[in-house]
Amino acid sequence: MRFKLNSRLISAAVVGLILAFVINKSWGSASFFDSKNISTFLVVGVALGGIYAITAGGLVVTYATTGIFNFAHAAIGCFLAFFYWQVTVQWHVPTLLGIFITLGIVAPLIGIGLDRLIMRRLRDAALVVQLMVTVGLMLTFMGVTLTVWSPKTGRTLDHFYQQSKGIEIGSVVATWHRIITVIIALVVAVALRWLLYRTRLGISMRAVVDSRSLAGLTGAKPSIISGASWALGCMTAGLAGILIAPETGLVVENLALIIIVAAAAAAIAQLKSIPMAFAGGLIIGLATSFSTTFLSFGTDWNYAGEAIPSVILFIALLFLPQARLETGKVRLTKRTERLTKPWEAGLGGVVLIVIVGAWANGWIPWFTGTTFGERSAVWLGRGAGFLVFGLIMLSLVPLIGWAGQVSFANFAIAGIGAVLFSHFGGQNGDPIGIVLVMLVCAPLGLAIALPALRLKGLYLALATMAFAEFTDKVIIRHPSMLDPSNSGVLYKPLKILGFSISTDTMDRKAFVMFLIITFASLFFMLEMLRRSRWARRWIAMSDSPAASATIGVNLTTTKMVVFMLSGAMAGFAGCMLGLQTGALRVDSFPMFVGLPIVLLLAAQGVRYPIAAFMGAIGLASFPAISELFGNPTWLTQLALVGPGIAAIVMAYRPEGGVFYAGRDLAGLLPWRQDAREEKVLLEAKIRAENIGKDEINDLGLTRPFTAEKVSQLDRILDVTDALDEHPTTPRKVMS
Amino acid sequence: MKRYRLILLSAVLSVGLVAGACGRSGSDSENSTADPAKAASAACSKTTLEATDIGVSADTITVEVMADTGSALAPGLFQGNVDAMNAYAKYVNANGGIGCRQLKVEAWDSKLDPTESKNGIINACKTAVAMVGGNALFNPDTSVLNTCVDKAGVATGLPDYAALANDINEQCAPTAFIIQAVAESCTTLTGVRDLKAFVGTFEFYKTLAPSINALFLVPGDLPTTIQSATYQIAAAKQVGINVTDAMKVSGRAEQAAFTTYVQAIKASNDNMVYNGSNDVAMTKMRKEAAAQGLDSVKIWGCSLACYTENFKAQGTAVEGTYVWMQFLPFEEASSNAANQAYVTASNGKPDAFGAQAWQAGMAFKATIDSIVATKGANGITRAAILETMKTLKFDADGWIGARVGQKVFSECMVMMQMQGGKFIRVTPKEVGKLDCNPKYIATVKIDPQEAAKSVK
Repeated sequence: MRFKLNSRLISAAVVGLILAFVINKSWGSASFFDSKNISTFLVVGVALGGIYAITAGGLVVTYATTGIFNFAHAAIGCFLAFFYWQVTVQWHVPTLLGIFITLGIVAPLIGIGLDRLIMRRLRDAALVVQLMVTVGLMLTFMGVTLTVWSPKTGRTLDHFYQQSKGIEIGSVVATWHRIITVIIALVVAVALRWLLYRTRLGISMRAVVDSRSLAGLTGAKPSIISGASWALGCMTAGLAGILIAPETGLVVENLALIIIVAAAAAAIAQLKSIPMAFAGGLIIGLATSFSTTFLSFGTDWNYAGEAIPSVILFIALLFLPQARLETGKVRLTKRTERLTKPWEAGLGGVVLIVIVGAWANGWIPWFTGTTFGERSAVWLGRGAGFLVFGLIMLSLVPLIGWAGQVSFANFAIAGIGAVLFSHFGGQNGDPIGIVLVMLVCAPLGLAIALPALRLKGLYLALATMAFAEFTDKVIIRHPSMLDPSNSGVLYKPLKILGFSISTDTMDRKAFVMFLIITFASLFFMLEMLRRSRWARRWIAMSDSPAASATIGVNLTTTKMVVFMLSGAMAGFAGCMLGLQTGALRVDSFPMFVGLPIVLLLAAQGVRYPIAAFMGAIGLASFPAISELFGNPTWLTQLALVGPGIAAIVMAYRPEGGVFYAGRDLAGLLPWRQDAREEKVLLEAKIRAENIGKDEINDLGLTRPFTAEKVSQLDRILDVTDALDEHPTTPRKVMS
Repeated sequence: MKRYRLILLSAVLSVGLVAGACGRSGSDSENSTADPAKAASAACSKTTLEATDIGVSADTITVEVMADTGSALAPGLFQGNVDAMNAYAKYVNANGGIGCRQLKVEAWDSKLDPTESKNGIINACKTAVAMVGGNALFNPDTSVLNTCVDKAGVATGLPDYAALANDINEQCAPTAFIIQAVAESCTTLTGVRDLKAFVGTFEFYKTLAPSINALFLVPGDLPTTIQSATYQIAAAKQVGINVTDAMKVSGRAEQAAFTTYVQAIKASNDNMVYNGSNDVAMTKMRKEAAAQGLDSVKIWGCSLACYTENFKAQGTAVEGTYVWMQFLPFEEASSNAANQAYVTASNGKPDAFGAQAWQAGMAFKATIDSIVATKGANGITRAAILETMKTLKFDADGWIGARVGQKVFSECMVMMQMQGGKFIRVTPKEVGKLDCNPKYIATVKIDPQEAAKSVK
């Protein structure tokens, strides 16, 4: 028999060798042949696996029935676990009734509410918008839970059958609660599989994800089905929350951030198979238990154990089948945009400098008299921070906005840039260090691009998330990167053209001006780049990789270039971040901080460089408003649900605030006929999409076919492309 | 940005592990602070008050309390500090004021953000005479504390009466007066060096069991918290505790993960577990031990981190856990006027952070009283405050042990135990007394970074 080598086999061998090397180097003192160690490893591993599996199963079922990867899944479960505590512990409702109220009433209501209010508007939204809306919801559910149930109050949820001993396996006791959790995870996996593949409801749920309109025409009721899907997703989230809370404690972060582990388990299942999600959970649980029982990573790799889920996520994504080029229908995501002229981009950059310069120098009279308005050293420092985050957002515009490569890794790259700058130049104020850091971060971006060559869409986003988590837990925490003993300020003021730029009180104005001039320069550069062939290639690749490959675009090179560009820009932003912060901690760059950065950009419009500036303004708005109003408590609480508000706005305005504001404002200019036409077309599209599904179902039976209805039906069935059409005006009855 | 609440609390409480808060028994208290207060009061009637420095007007003295309260991930984390300082201002103003003036408190939210911590110091430099009662977890750049200029434009520095200084840079700042004192000598912060640790707790545990085999649970989410635990462990060994293992605990670990610790305890036949992490970790440890049928452990010890309402709410699951502190507990507030004043002002919801903020407020008032008594009511300047704090005798009217100077390692403790859902005093037996002994402070020579490698 002939043995055929393929790339997947080679990858498996390489991964296997690396794992064997790591295990060999990190093997601790525990013997693998000691039955006590084995029983500990297995019992703990399966118990942890059950916890992860039940969350992952819910995540997969939500994705399978809604088509949306729900970052808020665990946060919803967290909210419901607290609600369950409120019902059963505070209000003394019997356990079974409490479970019914939580999972049978409240969870479905949340699901239906989310569907009605937000999710059904995301069907045709770009992936980044879909993901960021759920990130916004995650932060909101966390904020609401923290507000309603103060973390200072003591709460406890007992294990089920806590007083019973459980089953002894070797020297370890498997408690009934854990056994129940594993069994429920398994039963739920099997039951959901049966539901989705053997029942009319489940098949309808999946059908609605594939083609909402077609499912509707075959008798399903898409609006009800999608509501049921979200209700089911929230019920599974709540079930997981109730079962997990006794293990994690009623602690919001512990419950909500388990989504990172669940995502890894779901990736093993390729976001499709619920039984495989169960297996994925077990694999991660066992791997974690194996590492704590047998491995010792030493102080240099102290936190490597916490990176196990992200490593498994990355490996699982590596072994996903090669993303196939979509052929057939080319789905235009946007109209051809009017390109910004060089003089317009130059003027825009100057306007940015003038606005920020006027603020920094106290020339805006409206703010005079307030602390905010005095441009105090405090606010100049904050302004520098907001602009640094604006620079990170700017680095995402070509990557996500133009090339369609959704990445959550740029904050991590900025983190690496900040740390490297403390070694290369930052420690003595040498600006050459910035160039060196950019030269390192560009290929780093390229390294992230390697999986992007074969992954796309959600899988790529998850891969970059895994990279960000790995960077936080392993790379940055290595003592040679960031020495934990070195706790003070790591940077000397940067000396450029005689100016001293740093976070020192006297240098802050110069720092702000340096940042805005740099920002404006990069803004101009990107606007010019948008006019170039590279940007056209990126956008073509985003719209249709197959079509762009057909016309001769080298997809590999095209992707690599945009990742390198983005990496270099993030590296520069990282240098500024380090300089602005002054001192770095090993936990300064957690993965989940990168998510709100993308959220802010997406809310403003991920395709527009100016959106990065508006994102920075958005960041500044809450503290500024808070200060202007005298720091009221209600505003702090409002800030907790701010991401949720952004998520809702995004659902209704998926193109981003900059797009709609720009269109409306541009339409006022006499020479911008194109902007006015754009607005008319968009309104026509929205009008067409707003046709009621029931209305379609009844067409011809109780309602006459009109030209408008036929046109709307065509659009919904994708027979024609709405974006290529002019709005229909005739209202003639066809009889 | 910031990190999880549990990690933050672990970081705080690991500092609490190694830190102390001064002096001797409360019985000496009256001598240290009462007289300057009376003298100050007498001086007020003779003086025409003036604005003497930034933050000191003719009728008010402004201080800033900086604490992490508004972080989205941990809202209200150290709100207790701000509430306590606001309550203290009301209390002081209702009882004759401070330095012949009214006390005005401005709050600054440091948001678990080093940049905002530095901004808080910059703001205080411009508006307040001192920072009082603060608790900012991440405060690495304290340069402004040293360079802050006074009303005359002289870089006198900014007095910082911190309730708790978590960051080593704040701990070692020359203008800092810290209630929860520091283990570092601040001469050098790297390599092998002398570090102080409180061993009174271990001396007490030794009275419970003649031979102790102990597992130490170390807050493991940050390298600094691991390093902080190393000198506590070294000190425990120094006084004869056989530390069989030191293992990291993650703030995010599920209870199932604690099975590994239980197995380690069984393997070493430990009879003591000491938790340097937070109350959540201790609760999980206790619950998992019970689930696994562990019965060899006779002593469950925990730091001040477990002195919380949350821990109390765990009921029988944490029964018998020992918790130690270096101030008189809230349960016996009636035995001490200052304690009672705080508990009353906190509307019956006192917390350890708030108590330390209140004590910082008292230290500040003691400083001002001393200045007024010696220099008059118009002698209140930052320079005078900094000069006076260096030799300030203070014991919070007997609430804590007596201390002299800015950074003092306490030799006092009270040991409490969870009994029937309540914290009950165990030693010393007498209500209202602290157990103070110079032998309770040990000095260990250690390189924490190197020692951290032995923590599993």
